[in-house]
Amino acid sequence: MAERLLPDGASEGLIAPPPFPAKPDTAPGPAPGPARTWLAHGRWLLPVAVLALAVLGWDLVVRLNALPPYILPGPGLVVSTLIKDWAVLSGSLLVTLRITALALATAVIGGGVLALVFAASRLVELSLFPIAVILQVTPVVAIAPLMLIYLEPGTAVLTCAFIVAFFPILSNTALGLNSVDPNLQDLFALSGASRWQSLILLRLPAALPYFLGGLRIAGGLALIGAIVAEIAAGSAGQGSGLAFRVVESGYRLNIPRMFAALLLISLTGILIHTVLSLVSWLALRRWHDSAVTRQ
Amino acid sequence: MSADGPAQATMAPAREVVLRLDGVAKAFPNGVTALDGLDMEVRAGEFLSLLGPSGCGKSTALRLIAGLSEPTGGRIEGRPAGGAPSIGFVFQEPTLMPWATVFGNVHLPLRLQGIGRRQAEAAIMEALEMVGLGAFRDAYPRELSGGMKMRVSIARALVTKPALLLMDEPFAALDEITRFKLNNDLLAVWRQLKCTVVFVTHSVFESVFLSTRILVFRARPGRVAAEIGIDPALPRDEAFRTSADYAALCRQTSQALAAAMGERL
Repeated sequence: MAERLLPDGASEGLIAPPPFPAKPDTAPGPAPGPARTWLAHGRWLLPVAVLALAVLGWDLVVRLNALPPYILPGPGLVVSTLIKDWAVLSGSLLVTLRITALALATAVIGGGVLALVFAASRLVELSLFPIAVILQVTPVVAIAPLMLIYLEPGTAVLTCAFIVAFFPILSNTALGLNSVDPNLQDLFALSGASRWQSLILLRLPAALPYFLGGLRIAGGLALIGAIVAEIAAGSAGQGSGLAFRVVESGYRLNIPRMFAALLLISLTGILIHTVLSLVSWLALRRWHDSAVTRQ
Repeated sequence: MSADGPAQATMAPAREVVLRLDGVAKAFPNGVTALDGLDMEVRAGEFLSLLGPSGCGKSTALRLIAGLSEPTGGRIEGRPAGGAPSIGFVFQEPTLMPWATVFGNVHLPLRLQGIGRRQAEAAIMEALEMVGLGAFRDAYPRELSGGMKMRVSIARALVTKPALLLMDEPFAALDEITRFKLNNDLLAVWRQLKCTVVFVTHSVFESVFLSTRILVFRARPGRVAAEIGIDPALPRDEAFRTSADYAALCRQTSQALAAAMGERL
């Protein structure tokens, strides 16, 4: 097709015809045979089938042993409890979602801005990075009680979630900002680019895949941070997110509701992962190897 | 290019000298002396090749000419101060921004000078047509073959219509068929734009095919060991590649290169 699109220069005899295979060399991959389509479906079918089998096994164990719900409720009971207690659980779900989203947002802003500062000043990076590492390696469970003394329970939970979500954003973005092709840096220098132009046109786009990788980790960690901190808060947590429901149900031996809250926490995690993966894919699908499916 | 007469061993230095390196030295902080006592000049409108083995400092010389690094000794005269508008630089790798389209990549040098997309469009498309890639303006680098990426890289260097085009082994990583093709196209661009080209290569055959003058480098420390002039009037086409003239020049250049490398031993 491209052979017809000869450059104008060719007719003037100035320029030789265009490159020999004047079409993108998207290497022809294996033909979509039966094995390939099976694999494509298998990606969805296999985990769903395994999960269904596990739920079925769970149900059978409960039925065959006639286990009472306060030891192990069956999956049917968990779902019906989820529906029955939806008024209570949905409120807690919203609280947890709000804290997680808020923690992630502040982590993105805080981690991103600090990474930019690190990239701009080696001195600041050297002095602050170890502190960020200390915050990261200290388990949030251990920090939470202290936070609960100093801060309002809601703020304390948010702070804990922020602390765990913040580090992957910071370290990944800082790594990305420093992972610029040195030849491109030379090209920018040669073209008289200002610091600002280099940042906007070169370093930020180069850092984007790293940032998005950090974001996906941070999304999961924000939820973990929110849950862990609320569990540490225990009965003091009048904020009453999903973790509080888990603890509360435990005290009341309301095991079906405990399972229902657990299920919601899992679903929240899956939702966060899916949304962030989608964001990452949308941002990178045209150019980054990680997001491009090979044909 | 006007005919300057029959093929001769050394070209008459009739052209104006645009750039002169005078006893230039470059030592790196790790103690490696890449260049020492390098004397060379670049003349207006010529196609000058710097030929030598790996590690002889020819790429370092090119970076000094570009102003990407500073010499630790000697003087460089006539180095364009303006950067990109007056110098085009082509790296060994295509060095494209993977997140930008072909159009966006070629736009870059103009964009950094504050020239907007619409204003720059004519110049960008002209540069792309020159390398035969006008139809691929909206493609991303990962969708292109190695040769096409290099063409984009050349178009980007040409978009500012530089007086001086510096090329650092641009075709070293390409297969021979692609390389021959790009050699032909590069010569066509050079004739059309009438710019000065400094071309770093380690291929005797490539340097003879392209150049009007070859500087053979010796290594450790890098400096010029021999100079070979090639009649610019010789037709640089496929027939030239198999001609007796070409073979003789390649032999002469190979001998000069062997002598330069022998001195080192």
